[in-house]
Amino acid sequence: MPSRACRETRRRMHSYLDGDLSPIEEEAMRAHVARCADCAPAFERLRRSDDAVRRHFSATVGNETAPAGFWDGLSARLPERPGRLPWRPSDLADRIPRGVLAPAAVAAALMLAIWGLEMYGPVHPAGNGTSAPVRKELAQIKASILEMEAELEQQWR
Amino acid sequence: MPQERDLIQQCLSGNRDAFRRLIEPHQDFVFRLALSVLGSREEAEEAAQDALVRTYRGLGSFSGQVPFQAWLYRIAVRTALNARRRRRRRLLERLTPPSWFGGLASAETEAPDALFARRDTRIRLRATIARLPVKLQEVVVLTYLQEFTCSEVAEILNIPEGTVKSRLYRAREKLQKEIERQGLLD
Repeated sequence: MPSRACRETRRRMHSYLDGDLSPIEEEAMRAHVARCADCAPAFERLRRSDDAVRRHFSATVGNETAPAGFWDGLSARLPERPGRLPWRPSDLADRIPRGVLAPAAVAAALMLAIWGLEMYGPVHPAGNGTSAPVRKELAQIKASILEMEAELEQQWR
Repeated sequence: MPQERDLIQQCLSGNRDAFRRLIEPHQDFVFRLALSVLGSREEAEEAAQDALVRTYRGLGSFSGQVPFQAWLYRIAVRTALNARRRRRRRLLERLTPPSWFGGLASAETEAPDALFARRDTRIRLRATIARLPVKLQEVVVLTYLQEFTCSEVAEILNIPEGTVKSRLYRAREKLQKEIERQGLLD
């Protein structure tokens, strides 16, 4: 089982690729990698595959520019006047400042879970006889709460 | 950006030249983005135009709460990924064997991208990226194509920065596994 230092270093490897490490953190990561027989190859493999993806994008598109006549083709397809895109629930996210949506969703999910437990949980007269679909639904709610918590954890880290 | 706001206002009254000036700084990126996803210049041109037509059509619903560039790039990345999904569906329809022919059953489950994948590393790598869940592809394309930072990607996709990081983390893990399995590092 990897040690706590190894787990922290693995997390830092990704932050390093994100360009998110301070010089001190990067130095600590490199120092650990230099002396750890597990993390050294792990870092090398991650870095090589990251390089491969990066090279792939630069080789595919390089400094390509839109072809000649691009605007003419586009202009012929434009409608007379702009309008509005059909509304989608995800548009709501544009109206709500980032960082508010996820906690609000977690709070709503928690309330829903509490309501679900009160209605269908073991304290309900139905007790152990709670039906399979309800148990399945509760399990799904629990799973989505855990997922949202994990995302929030990442966000707050 | 005041000039951008003016141009949008002019577009709303049907001024196409204003739209041309509005998108000029971005059209090469929109094209490159589509090219990186689709791999063919013809398809990329069509998808880039689709994205810009969609942008023009929807200008009336642009709220200005996010920068125009972020809004445009979000439309562009989703349009390109949708174009590839449609292409895959078309190819699958063509490739699906008649029901009486059991011998090619694997073609039903294998993505067409993967069928062509043996040709060269670039195609195989593109196919590998294409098999990621769409939400992971969005962050991969934006991060690796233009070297946007996590916070810029977050702004474009309008999701928390932490979500971008966790998606990138998952994407890198999956890509590494596949790249090593297929021997794409050589």
